[in-house]
Amino acid sequence: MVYECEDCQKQWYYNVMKCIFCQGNVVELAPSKSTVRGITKIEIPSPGHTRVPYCDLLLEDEYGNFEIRKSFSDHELGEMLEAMPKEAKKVAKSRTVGIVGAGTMGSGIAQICAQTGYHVLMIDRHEETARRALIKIDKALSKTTKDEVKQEILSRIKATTNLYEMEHADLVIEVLTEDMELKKEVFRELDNECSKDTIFATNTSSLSVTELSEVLKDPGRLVGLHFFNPVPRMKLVEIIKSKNTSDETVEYAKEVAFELDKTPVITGDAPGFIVNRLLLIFLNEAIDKYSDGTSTAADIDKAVTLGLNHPMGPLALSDLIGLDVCKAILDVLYEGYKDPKYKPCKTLCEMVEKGILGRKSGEGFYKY
Amino acid sequence: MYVTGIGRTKFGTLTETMPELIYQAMYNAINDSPISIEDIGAVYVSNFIGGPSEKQLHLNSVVSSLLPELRLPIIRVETACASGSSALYQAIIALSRFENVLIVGVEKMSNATSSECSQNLGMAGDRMADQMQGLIFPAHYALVAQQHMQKYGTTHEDLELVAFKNHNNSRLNPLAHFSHKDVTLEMIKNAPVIASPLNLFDCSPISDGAAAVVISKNKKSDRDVKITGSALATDHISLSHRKVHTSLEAAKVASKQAYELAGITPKDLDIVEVHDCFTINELVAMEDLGICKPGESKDWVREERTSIKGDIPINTDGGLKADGHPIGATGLAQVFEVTTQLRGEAGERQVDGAEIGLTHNIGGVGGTAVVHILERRG
Repeated sequence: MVYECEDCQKQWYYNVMKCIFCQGNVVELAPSKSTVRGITKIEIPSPGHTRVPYCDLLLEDEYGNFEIRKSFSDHELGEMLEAMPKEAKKVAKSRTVGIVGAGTMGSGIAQICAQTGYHVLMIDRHEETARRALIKIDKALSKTTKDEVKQEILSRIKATTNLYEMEHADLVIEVLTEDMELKKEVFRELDNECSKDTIFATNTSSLSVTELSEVLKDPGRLVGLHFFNPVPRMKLVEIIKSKNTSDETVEYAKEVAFELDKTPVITGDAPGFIVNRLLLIFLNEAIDKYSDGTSTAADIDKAVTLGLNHPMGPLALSDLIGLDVCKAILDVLYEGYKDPKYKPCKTLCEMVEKGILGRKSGEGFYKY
Repeated sequence: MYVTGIGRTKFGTLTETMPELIYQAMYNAINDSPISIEDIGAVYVSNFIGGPSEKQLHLNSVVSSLLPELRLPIIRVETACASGSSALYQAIIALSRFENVLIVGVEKMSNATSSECSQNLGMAGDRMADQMQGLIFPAHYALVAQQHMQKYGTTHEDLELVAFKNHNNSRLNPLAHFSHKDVTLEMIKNAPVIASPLNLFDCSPISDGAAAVVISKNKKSDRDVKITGSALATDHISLSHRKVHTSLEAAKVASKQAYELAGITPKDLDIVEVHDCFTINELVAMEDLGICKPGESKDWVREERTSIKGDIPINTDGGLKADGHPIGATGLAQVFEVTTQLRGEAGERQVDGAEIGLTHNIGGVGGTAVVHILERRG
């Protein structure tokens, strides 16, 4: 951020308000774009910057002023970039992120937030769950990080059972089970504990973000932030803009996604968003195909992995997700769109009824 | 004004504590000079990251503990990596009040982990503009190197030549961090990248060490070296706050003032110590000091004009690259080397007939620059 004296055009990089040379008013310049003039790729970690490599860019704006900007993406000299939104710059200083729910997704999100340099408050009603999540993060980091760096990352995560500790959070991400009433209750409480500037996010994969937002005093501050499992590895984040979500909140969510080294996509608040709407209809179709008895499960999966270049076939994936979960999402889609194409196929319903749920029950389309 | 005594410790990963290092350097400087410790009027102590690294501030009082019963005026000076020369600059001003002033610089860096050290050194950059963006110090100078390469066609091979020369010089300096280490061009070329385009051998090491200098208003012995120029200039702390990234404006300003005070031009220099915290900065320094024209430093290095037998030998002690860079001590170690050379006491690395020397000490990425000119005419 560059500040300039309206009278003598002297410039500062701090908000000085008045010119010490001529007592003129100092105003902030608002550049809209930057050109990459220098790039260095940094290979060694330091506290707050533990994920390497990353790039630091020397950017020149249209006024001929420069700034340093950290980036996890590759850039080229001469490339034009948009100026970073002012709001994003302000909060990039030191975000405190609250994670409500310390299950698999919660601990994954907590891990990448801490690796990015955020302060993380991880909350679970059960002390044991929060404690186990910390151990899990510790283990996950041990595989990829030196002990010294790992300790530094872990020191930024605080596990707690008290929701009121969220009062200083800049962003709270709710990662609870898909239970609308439970989520509503938690957001009502969060609304009371947090400041009026806190941004709320829900990691729901199927529930209505719009409906959830209506329990908040300011529904514009809730956005869907849908991460994928395993969080540290999957590059995608779906940002769900509810009917109420403000543009500022969406921008904020985008900045966070970029800082976490994820690629955000924006979508409206309709069942399944993008990925699950497309995926489940595909899985459902694969199960239906399997039930006609002309192909083995292995052949269907082989066809998809080799013919469509998917890393995993749809039946193996259904087993991994859990057939009950697949059916539940299809039910939500069917209910939401009232379109028979989303109706869970007969075989899927039967398997779920019999308790054949995939990996977790030891049997699905494959035996485990 | 004269340098009347010099002393230092070995540089490297040392077992001594910070107070022990300070004491050794002060002892050696007093021992080297005709002045007794009781004749010292004031002490300036320079140190950069003793706070975050060693959890020791109030260093002036630590020095007082090392000089029992004297209760002298002692002040700590901090200007990042230029702390040593800045303390000398202050001490020279203090000669208007005291006949003899002692300056001691120290840094204890090896106790912190390398990651902590990166963060602590980063404090020489702007908190918001640099540190928050992860611009560790090698990255500051990596950007300078990249700009220099784009503008002047300087190559990484040129930087390798700087590292190679300085490592070779350090083999002749028994107190140097790498005095024991044989380094080949191949080792330098194949070192791991730290912040592109800079690799490990472009970076000065993490060193412990201390250096001390005694200065006096009047001449005390035939070994004294005259201080003819002393100048300090500053600039924006962040590279990104400046428009030019291939030179350090503060160094140009400080050297111009120092030349004027001494009444000399760069052509008169016989020996120069520059702040090669990263190899690229030795090239930038040569241009900022007017030793060569902008963009020509690479040619000088290729033609070996800065080696001990060259036109203007640079960093005969190994420089920050190979003598070591215990931050608070560095500027004073440069004065130690120039004084040693001008006295003709540099042994194997002696530059024949050296009469005029210069030290160039930089804080951060040029936020502070201090230049001193020393003379001893034969």
